[in-house]
Amino acid sequence: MAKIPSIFRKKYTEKSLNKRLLAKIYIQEDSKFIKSLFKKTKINNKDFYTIDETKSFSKNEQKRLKLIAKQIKKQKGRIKFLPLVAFLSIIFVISFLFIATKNFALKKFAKSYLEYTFEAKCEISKVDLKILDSSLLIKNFSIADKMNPMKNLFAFDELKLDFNLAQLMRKKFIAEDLSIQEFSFNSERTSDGSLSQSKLERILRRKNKKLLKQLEQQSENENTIYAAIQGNSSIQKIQSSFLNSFNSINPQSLLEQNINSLKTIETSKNIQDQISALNSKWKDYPDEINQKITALKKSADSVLNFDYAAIQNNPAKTATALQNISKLIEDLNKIKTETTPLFSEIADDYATVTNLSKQLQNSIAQDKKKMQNQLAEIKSFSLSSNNLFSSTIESVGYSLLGKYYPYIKKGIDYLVNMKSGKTDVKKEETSSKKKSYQRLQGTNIEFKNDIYPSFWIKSISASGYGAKIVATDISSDMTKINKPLNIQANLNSNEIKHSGKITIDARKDSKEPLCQAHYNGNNIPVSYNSEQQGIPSISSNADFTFDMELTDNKTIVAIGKGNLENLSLWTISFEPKYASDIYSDILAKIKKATISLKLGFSEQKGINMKITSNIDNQIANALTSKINGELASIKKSIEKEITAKLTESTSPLTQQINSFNASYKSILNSSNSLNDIEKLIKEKQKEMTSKSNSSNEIQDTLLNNTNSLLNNLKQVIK
Amino acid sequence: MLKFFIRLFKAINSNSNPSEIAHGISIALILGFLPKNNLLWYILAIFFIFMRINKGAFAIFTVIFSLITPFLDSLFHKFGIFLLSIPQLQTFYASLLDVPFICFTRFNNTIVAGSLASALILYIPVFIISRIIVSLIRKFIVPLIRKTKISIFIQNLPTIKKIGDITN
Repeated sequence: MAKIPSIFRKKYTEKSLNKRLLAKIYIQEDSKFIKSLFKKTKINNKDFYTIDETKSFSKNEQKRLKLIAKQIKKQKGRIKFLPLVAFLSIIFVISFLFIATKNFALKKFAKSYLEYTFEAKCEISKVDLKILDSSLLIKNFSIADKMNPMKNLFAFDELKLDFNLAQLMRKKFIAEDLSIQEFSFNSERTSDGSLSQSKLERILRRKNKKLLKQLEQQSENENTIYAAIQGNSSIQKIQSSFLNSFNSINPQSLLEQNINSLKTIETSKNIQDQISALNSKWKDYPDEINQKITALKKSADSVLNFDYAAIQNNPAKTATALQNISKLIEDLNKIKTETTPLFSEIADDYATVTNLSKQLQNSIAQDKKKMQNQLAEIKSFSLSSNNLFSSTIESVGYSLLGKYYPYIKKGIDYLVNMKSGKTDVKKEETSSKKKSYQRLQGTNIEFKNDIYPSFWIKSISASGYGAKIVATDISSDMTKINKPLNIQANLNSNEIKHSGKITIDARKDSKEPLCQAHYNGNNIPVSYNSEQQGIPSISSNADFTFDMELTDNKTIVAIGKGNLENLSLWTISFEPKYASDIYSDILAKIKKATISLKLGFSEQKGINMKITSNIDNQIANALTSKINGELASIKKSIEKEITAKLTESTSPLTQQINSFNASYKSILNSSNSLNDIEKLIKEKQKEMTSKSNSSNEIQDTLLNNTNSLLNNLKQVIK
Repeated sequence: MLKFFIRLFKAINSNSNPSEIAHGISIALILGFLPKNNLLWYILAIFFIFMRINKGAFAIFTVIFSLITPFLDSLFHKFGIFLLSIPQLQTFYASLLDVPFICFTRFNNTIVAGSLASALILYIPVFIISRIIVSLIRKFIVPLIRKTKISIFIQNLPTIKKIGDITN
């Protein structure tokens, strides 16, 4: 038989022929053609239909038969099972891979995102996400502190989250319960938590772009309020107000205030040059003159110590002695010629200097009198600011507010928007047509009241670090769930107790305040180290209570009270020192204080914070009364100090005057010595001359007289 | 697209099961009516790939039905509202919506529900009509076409032969 497809070479019963061949041929002609080929034959007493083996087919017929056979074979079951099974296997493998790797992928993503956010290493030991169970477990989580790489910013041992998968599919995060075990802040790390340099650079580059946008978007009004907060936090204003109170009893301040009207200064300037010149002029003369007189004395010594009794009978030697005396007198005259004009000149200069010195002393006396009159006008002392202590705390409060103001502002805006319904708005799909060839959106029908907002954690509990926090109903739309958010926290650590409660009620129709907060703290260490003169540094253990309310129109009202026990106050000393000492004594005696706080904030009026304390008046009154009680002695010591300061300021000039006076005295002494020597020598000369030609008696008398004269002269020289 | 036309043409002129062509058209009706922005469309589309149907008819009629559905959307919307508002089924629908991943099918959308229900209802009539039309075409028109000189001439053109070989 010519080659024909195998299905036509088989033998069929009538039934099978109709079922397996003819029923699958839908073209009538083809059906007729095939029918015509099959002939009935009897095989083993049964009727079969076969194609005649001897029949030959033309090429076209063969082709046709081939085509028909192909078309018949194609007609199989409705579903292609083999490809379907293969596809399902692939789906199964993908699902298996997803289930096997989802935890790893989630862990990697979380680490990468947190490292980007916090710019430090993040460690997670286990992540277990169970999709069908709708639960997430994270174990041993820690994120390092970029500022302190050996410490963790935040860490916890275990986090469990039960969420609603069906709602998550609808883009809503609904969690039944979130619990965090053993969280901690600032805990120690065993390895360095800083990122590699290249990674950090990549992160910072991406972040810089976002930051620039945010700064541009910061509103002008926010900047104004922020600037006002920063201004109020300045401690310098308080300090200068306090220190200025002492200006009236501060010698230095008094002098500085009157500096331009002090005569002493003017006089000093006027006579400075003159005194200086005179002093320089006569500085070297005393030594010079003394040298000459010393030399003269030496010569006089030899003459006067000569033994005239031995030569009284030797006229030749006597004559020589007389010559020596004459020479001595010559030297003496020579010195006198040189020094007499000097003596006269210095006497004149001395008179001038004395006069100038008197002028200076008069100026000092006048200024002293002026200061005394000014001091006399001070009847009492009073502080310009009676609330130094509470102002200090206020300033600290403002600086804290300034630090957190942007976040507070964001929080307030968010809550107000939530209450007005602007945050969790779902766009309602309407059936309005857009364009004729686009399909309608249709309407999504909810079969029960949609009580799920886009974000809702029904219960959070966290423990660790001595703290326990429980929060309920944290949601993005409180109106939908009709429950306010409640957070309660307690922390006990090293005898320090904190407890707080916050209720946020952003339900649309609620009459309650938008936010209410209460805080209570016991034995909280308070420490403030002031590096400003006069501003007290504080160290204490304190108990605080604080209540705050935020209303719908973005107004905050807060009231607080505090008791400071084991209070220690001290300050850096300031001028005047005596006031600083009194102040420090007063501060050291204060061991307790109570403070009360009233705070108000609104967008129109900004922030107004008032802190009052029971020790403000205590400090002010003690300081004032102490200073007033000692005002007389304080005035005296001020006077003394002013005098000392005035004298000190003129001391260079006074030194110069004294130096000149010393020079003058020395020269005067020299002049007197010279006169005495002259007198004695002349007397001797006279005597020796008159008795040189006389008898022995005369010589004895001469000798005795000479000896007595010599003795006198020796005494004069000594 | 030409490929699909040739496939359909071939199928009609050959001994392929008319049910294959009719199923192709009916399934095209479902996928043409259903909006494409939900998971259900993709699940059905993938499933139908594994069905032995005429791909040519499937593709061509999917396009045709997609083009006419915007004009039928208002009917689908009304029908969808009716179906989704049946009181006795509200609890069932609500529980169905709570099943994870079901929400991606968007069955609670009026257009989706209405178009799917309409397609399912019309499936059998369309199938029957398609089958009848195919049979009639084969019975009366195909023989006529085969016998015409133009048909013989076109069939013998080398280009057509080649297209036929490529699309075989």
